[in-house]
Amino acid sequence: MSARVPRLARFLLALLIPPDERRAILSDLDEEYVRHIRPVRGVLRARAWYWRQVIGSIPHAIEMRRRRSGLSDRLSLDVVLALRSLRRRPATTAAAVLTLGLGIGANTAIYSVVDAVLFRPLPFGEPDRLVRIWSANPRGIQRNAMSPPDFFDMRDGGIASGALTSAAAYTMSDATLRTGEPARVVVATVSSSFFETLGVHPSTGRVFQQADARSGAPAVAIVADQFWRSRLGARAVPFEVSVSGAAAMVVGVAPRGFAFPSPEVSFWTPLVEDASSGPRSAHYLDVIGRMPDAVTISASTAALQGIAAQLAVAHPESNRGWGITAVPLEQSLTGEVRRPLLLLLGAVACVLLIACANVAGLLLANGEKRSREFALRTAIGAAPSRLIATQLVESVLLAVFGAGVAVLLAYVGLGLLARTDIPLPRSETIALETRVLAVTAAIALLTGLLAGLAPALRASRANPEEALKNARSAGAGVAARRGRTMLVVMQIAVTFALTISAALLLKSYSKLTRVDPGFDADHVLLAQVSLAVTAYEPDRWAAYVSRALEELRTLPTVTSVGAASPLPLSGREGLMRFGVRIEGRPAPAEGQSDRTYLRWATAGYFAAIGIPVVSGRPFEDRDDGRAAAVAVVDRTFVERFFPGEEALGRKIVRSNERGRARTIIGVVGPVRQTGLDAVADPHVYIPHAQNPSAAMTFVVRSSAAPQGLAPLVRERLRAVDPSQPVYNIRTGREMIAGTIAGRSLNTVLVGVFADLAGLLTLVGLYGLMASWVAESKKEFGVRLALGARPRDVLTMVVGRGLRVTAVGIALGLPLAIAASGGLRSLLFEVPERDTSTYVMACAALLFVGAAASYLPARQATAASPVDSLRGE
Amino acid sequence: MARGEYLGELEQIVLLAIARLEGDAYGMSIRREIESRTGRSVAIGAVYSTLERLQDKGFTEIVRPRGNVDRDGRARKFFAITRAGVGALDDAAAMQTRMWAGLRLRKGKS
Repeated sequence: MSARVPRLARFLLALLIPPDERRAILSDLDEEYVRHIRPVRGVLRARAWYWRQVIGSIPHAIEMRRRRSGLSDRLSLDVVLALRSLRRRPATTAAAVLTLGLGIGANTAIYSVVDAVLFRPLPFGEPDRLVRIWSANPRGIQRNAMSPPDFFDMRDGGIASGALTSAAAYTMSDATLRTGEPARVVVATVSSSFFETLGVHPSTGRVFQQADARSGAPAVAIVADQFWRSRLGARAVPFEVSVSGAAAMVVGVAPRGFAFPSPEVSFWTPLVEDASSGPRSAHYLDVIGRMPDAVTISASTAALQGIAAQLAVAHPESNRGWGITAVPLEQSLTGEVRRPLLLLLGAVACVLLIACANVAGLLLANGEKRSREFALRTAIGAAPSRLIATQLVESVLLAVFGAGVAVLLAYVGLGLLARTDIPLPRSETIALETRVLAVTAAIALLTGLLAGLAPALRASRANPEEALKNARSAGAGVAARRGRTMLVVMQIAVTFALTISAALLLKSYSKLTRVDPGFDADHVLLAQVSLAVTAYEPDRWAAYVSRALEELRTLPTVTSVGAASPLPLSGREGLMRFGVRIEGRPAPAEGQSDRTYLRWATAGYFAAIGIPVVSGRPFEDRDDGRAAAVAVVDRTFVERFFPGEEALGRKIVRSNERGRARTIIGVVGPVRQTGLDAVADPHVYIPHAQNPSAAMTFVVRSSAAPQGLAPLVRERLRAVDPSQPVYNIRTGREMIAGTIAGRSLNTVLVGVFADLAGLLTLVGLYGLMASWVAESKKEFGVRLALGARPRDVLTMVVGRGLRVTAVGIALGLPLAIAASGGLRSLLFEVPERDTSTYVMACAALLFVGAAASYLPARQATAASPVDSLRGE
Repeated sequence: MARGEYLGELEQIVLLAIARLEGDAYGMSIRREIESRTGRSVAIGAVYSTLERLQDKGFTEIVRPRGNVDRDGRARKFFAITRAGVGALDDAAAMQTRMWAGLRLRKGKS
């Protein structure tokens, strides 16, 4: 029932009420809402009522807390005084609260992401002892998967030498769950010590044992908690499921939230540990290890290197030149996002700094108006410390209210973030948690103190004699204005650095989006299938695909249809690299062969995805199992292997096709495989009908908007085989956007923060110029009376604003250079000290400076000579 | 805070609501009683905060009648006026009456 209570309001109130009364008040409120208010007033007005109740209760909740905390009467007096003083100046208060709210809110949102992804320890036992281990290949690629025999030797040798206490291997694959409605699930095949190595215990049932890994042992599985509850009705273990046509006994449930190696995994099944499990050249296992407490990672790595060297001697044909890479697991999981996230954190911290400066400026300006009040209090005996306290309490209160706004903003912001499809590791754990809120509170406190520092010091120096003698004395204002000018200069400096960073990222992002991916993603719909291993024998894969293609071809608006695997830009998943030999040339030395990417494609694929055929012909239906073995290569391949020669008609031999030669019948344009920012590698396409693959993606090109075709495509593929799940239906545009989603989010966020900083700086500079003009009205009047033209006054004021801006830019220059140095690895084809970007940012900030001074300047020209003379 | 202080306005109103509710006085029923009688919307936090203050002053006490629980199945806190509370209400009323005695304002009422 309480699900419909406004959750955010309830959360806010729960935060403020003292714990002993929390339940009583909230359950009273919820009951009233559900039983009496909502049925009578309707949902919308009832929600409004709830919010009013919460907001109305906030001061009382604070009072209840105060009563419990037994804060000194003096402080509570200060709080009451500060609250009154803030209420007397609603506009200033609102501006300050909003400014701080923006600053703190942006920090809270970003921090909650950074905390979940980078700072919180991995949810494993002693996570700092875990390492990720790769094979390093002779060609200098440090992070390769490991082959099963290598893994077994590495594990046993590592444990024997004391470098590891345990090690585990895993690999992920797709499977079809046939218990209930057929569904595609991701299965992680893991070695028996997987859970033990991670230090994770199942919430019910057991982990894998060595017996489970023997070949011929009864099939067992461990299920993910979430999947177990949502899809399997939380049945009592053990129970049987049918995965990819084979029955397996579920013997355990992984603990809630356990998501390794990926949150997508629904089942873990044991890897069969057979001494003769495949060749040493088949690298497909990911490996983790746990180090003993006393062993450092470098010692452990050295020991494992020793084992790799022994393997190279024992198995030179497969292992010569291969080594080991070991990296702390945490670092390997978050390595790629660490820098961008820290960059974002730095950017929001800058925004907060600027917001602080703005509020400090506001308070300083206010302090000038209140100098009489402070002077009076000093005159009747208030100690300077009391005046400092008053001002600090006031600014801390502002920050506390700002934090309220901030939590609201962060809540909304994270909601938006959750909707974007960014590939962040551990993103499933991002939330406004106690830890994050505690940090927010600390930031707010610090912000309050920081913003109040300058005004507080000024207040304590109030000179009663002077201030009381002549309240309008301009002398006192000079020091305050100097302080404010310094604050604004600092703001401009920070904004400049932020603007440069944002502009560099934007420029590199726009370059990236203009990279030609090598195919035409418009008007294309993609749909993936994974032909379950047991339901379909390999000889039927090709038949299924060609029947499906026939079905799809008859859809309305469809102009061409094909299928392939893997798709361009699909990253490293499913990617096969293999050695290639050109017939008629000497075979390259072992371990030195040139590697190329392998793709499967059907007839029609190149036309459907829009890869241009440069010469020769694409695959046709006749290129089936009975016809001559053929291949299509891309232009990068030709440039690498046949520079200046004719490639068509030449024969190539793939290292794992037992000497079967394929004739090159066509050359197509190159595509980007791993990402838009990665160089194109040589590719060989082979016809699916001649060497079928189980995982294929159908590509449908349409003359109309492709989204509309999705239900039809699903329906037709279901008609071919209802038991075959179709998944990941998306448009070509979506696929491209997905590969740069992380970058685009980063760019947008840094851009937003830079704009925010610019806006706050504009406001800060405007405030400074406006108060200067207001104070110097007399001077302008005199100047105008003595014959100065309005234009001269205008130039004078704007010139002063520009001078302040220029000083800020000069101070910001080293800051900007440092910041763009930190960006280096994130930039794509943009030099870190891109002159045009620096020039543009200077121009933008000078424009901001001019804009901020223009209105005050206009006011200065309106100063009346008569008034100023009369005032004397 | 010391006993026997004057009653604030909201304190008076809350005490009167408790008296009116005759043993059925808990946070939300008090709030509802005040709203329906005065037409003034009161925040639940204000009611609880006032109840706490009244208790500190010794004007109310908590009673827990058996069987009455809230939505979570917890025994609810019910409030009753203490003798001191009745005295304070009496004093407040008497003080008001004395202040109003013989006074006739332009838009006066008693």
